[in-house]
Amino acid sequence: MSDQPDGMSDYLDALATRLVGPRAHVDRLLDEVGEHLADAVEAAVAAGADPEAARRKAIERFGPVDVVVRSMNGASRARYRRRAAGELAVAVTGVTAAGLVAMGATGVVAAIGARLTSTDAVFGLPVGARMPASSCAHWLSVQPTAASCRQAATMEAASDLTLWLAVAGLLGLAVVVAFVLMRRSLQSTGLVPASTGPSLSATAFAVGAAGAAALAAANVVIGSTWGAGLFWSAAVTCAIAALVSGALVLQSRRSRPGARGAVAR
Amino acid sequence: MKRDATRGHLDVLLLRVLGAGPAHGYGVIAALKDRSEGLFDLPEGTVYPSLHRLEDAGLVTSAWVSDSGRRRRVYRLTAAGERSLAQGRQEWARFSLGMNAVMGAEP
Repeated sequence: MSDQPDGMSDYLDALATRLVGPRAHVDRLLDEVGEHLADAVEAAVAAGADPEAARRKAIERFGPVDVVVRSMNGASRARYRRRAAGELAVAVTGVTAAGLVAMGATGVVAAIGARLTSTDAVFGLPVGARMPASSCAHWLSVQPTAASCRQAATMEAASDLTLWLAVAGLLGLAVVVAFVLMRRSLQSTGLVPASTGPSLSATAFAVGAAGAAALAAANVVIGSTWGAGLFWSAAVTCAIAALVSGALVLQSRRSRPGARGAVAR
Repeated sequence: MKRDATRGHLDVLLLRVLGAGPAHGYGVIAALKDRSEGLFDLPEGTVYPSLHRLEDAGLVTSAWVSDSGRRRRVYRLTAAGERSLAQGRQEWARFSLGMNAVMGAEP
């Protein structure tokens, strides 16, 4: 038994929920299909067919939903390939912006952590780290208030890392502006789901949070790398960013159009 | 006839049907079936993407036309479409000549 919908409206609805492409394009396709089916029924009824049988035959002749959708969506993807690539580029820009802003936020969290605990806990040298005389001389010259070579190295690490993370954060804000402008100028094809960017971000941040937490924990146990506080800061920032990205994924999936398929608003 | 064989020539077949005059999608498909005496019997829904591709290529244009209370998208050949059809017919004539010469020859 066929699983094809036997009513005209059901058939059109089945196509509407599965056709992809800009809304105007999908609307045109559906209008053409509707007119085509009406023509076919009209011709069959004029030739003496029963209207109900004519409707079933018209749908059967038009083709199984799977076949028609595959054919029409294949054509839509080819037709809007460039625009879809642009949408993907915008999504990747958004992910990049989020990553850079998260790096800036990590710097802020680390700075706060250093204030609350100590600079050494956040940016400190690994236990047993070698401090060559030439490096010590450099660190002490750039950090004249330091009382020891280790403190000078830690202060220098804190200064450098905070600066670089701040630069990354500022760059991220610039990319956010570019992302917003790109999104505004983009006419969505509906071929790249709105949840693509947030999904990528959520995955990347979740992996980042887990990795940073693991490094921080390992550092607490074996003290092999620079201050654990920096990794904890990254883990906290990534975890928050992953949660925000996850919420955006849910929001974009909830607001996805249904009645007229995966079409752009 | 295998559907893939028809599909490989669908563009020029559609141009040929439209070469006889403007027509809406249903009319194009019905004419294709009638002219081929039922041989070219594709799922009708798969013909529209080909019509749209021809439109993107500038070989046909289309517009909504109202007729006795009905609204239909009518397709017509452009000048480029006419040239493409003429070229397609020439190529088909050469191809079918070659095919007939080979397939019709005694082994």
